[in-house]
Amino acid sequence: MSTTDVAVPTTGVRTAAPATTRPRRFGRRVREATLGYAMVLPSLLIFGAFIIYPFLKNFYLGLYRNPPFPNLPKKYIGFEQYQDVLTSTDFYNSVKVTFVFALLTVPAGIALGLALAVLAHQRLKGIGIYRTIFSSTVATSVAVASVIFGTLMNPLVGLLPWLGLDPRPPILENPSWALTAVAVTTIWQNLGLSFILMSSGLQSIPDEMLEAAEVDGAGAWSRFRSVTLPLLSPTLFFAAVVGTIFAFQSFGQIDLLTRGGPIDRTNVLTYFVYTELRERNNPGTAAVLAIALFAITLVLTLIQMRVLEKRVFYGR
Amino acid sequence: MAADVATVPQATHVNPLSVAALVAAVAGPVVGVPLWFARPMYGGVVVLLGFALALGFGFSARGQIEMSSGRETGRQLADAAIVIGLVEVGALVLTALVLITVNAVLAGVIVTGLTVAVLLALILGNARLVARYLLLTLLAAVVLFPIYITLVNSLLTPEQISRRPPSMFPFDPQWDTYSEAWSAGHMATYLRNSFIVTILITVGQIVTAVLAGYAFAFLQFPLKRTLFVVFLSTLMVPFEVTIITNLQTVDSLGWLNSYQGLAVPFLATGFGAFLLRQAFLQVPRDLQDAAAMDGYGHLRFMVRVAVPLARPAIAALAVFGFLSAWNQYLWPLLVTDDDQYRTVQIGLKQLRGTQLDEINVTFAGVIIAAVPLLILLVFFQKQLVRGLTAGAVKG
Repeated sequence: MSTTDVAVPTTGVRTAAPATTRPRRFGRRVREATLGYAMVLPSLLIFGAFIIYPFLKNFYLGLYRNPPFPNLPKKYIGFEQYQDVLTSTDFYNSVKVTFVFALLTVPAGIALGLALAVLAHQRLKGIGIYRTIFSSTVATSVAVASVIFGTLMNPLVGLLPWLGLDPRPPILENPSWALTAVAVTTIWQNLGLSFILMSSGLQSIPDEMLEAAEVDGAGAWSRFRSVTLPLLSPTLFFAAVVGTIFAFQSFGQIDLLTRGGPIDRTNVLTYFVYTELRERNNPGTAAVLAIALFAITLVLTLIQMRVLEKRVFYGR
Repeated sequence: MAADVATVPQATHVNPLSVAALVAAVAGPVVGVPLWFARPMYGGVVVLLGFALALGFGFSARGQIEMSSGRETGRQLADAAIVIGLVEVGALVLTALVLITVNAVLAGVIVTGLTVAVLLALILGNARLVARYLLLTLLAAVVLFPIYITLVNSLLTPEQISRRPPSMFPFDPQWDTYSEAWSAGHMATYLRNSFIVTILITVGQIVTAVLAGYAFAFLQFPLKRTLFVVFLSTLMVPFEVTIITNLQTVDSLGWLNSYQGLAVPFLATGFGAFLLRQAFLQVPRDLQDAAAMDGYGHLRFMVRVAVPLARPAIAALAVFGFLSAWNQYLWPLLVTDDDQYRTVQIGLKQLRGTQLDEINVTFAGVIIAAVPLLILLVFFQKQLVRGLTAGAVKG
């Protein structure tokens, strides 16, 4: 009984197919495409209005010099402004500060995250609590971290001066210390993220490899150096590039701790864009700086994609 | 050293480094502590030196013993040296901290108690295990210290905060500070705004990502590939690059100081669409065919089958979206100047600007601002880790 029940409808569909489905299939294709566009449209509207349009408009804005007083018309000066901004000592200083900031924060952040991850990568009772603690700073925002460290380094109520680290002028107003102080804050704030990345990298290393090395007589250090580290290298590269991109987008800690000072020693590119836009009311130069920021980030992103390809290959 | 042991396998010997490590570990405090009473500085240095040598010799000894595959002994000696070294440095740090902050008697009691407890644990239990926990605990304390001291300071009076030596424990907690930060410091308003904006952004990102991800995974339409490349290319534009025109746009829409001004630019991400597309591509083809047989249209299939199956990816996106929306700083700073619409992060900037005689309120504000995400971390650690490891792709 059941066999005939199944057999009848299928044969029915088969015989009906050539006659009726062709126009319907065409209609279905149009409907499917319409549905597809409708589903993509919300995202596309947001991207168009808040990413693509403002991005492209930067190139246009960069061609105009803004008047020294508001309400006067802006003046077309073409590529002169690009040349002025990109060859200025302020821009050169800002790029240098940004790269130094990245150099201060990224390698140290990765090394500390890796050290914690290696230590927490063992089967111990209660290791979950330590993992949560080590990743805890991922829950602190830039503002939380900056206010905490800002008060710790405060010359009047902070602990750092009391511990003997008390340069004159105070650390955050000190040209030779301010960037390091901001970097330490950033390293602490990103430690959780670094730990999480390194931990998941370590977990992807098969235990058998380490066991095999142990059987071959490799000690803990040589196991780490000749098995763990090479297998972790894609994660390390990846973290380095992502960390550098993060570093190039740092803004909050600068705004809260040093406001770009003293004497522009912490004036990273994003803060430079912000002050040109907000305090000097100069969208033209801000746009040129933003394009420069984009170009640098693009290069870093392209490197990141290379690394990602490598990562996928390693993953197999 | 062990050239012809192959002929005489029994000729094992104790690794000299492990002996040296143990000597250093014991000599450090034996010489250092008496010296401490005469010259505290030299005493401390000797103890630290002993600790460093114990650890250095101990680890090298362990390495050599492991490489020698049973021809050398002394592993326990090396382990003991390492553990004793760790105990010493822990005791040293604790003594210094407690001596400075409370008083000498209490310091003596605590340090003696802890040392006895650790030594008992070492004798009764597994020395290496105890050493591991000691090291982990020490590092956890270092990582947590800034948050801990903020918590303590939030419960002290401003006079106590600026007192030297600093208080490391609030013996008389001032809970009023929190209600002051909550109402007079506007933290209640800031928190409400942050929650509203963050939830708008998170929900918006999930909806747009599910829709776009589904279209890219299951539907055929002209220019699909081009559009997908457009989606991915939005990932390459850092938000900081777009603020100049976005500020003008939001201003001309009359959205300054409004929730829509804070949320709308972030309602869609290329990362979300990409993540959901990957998740939807994992949905077995058989299920799709079966659903089609049952007469499911695309919308019904999406809601009933595809979305439930993609739940892990959606959860990761939700936690990641929540985290990044909650932590936003630059954009809220640009589009709000009214306390009625400021978010927590900008609220902290306001609090930081207050006088030093209200610094305890600032500390309380920091704790209030940090708590929601700490809760998120404790309860959604797995999703957070997945979101971050996938999310770091965006950068």
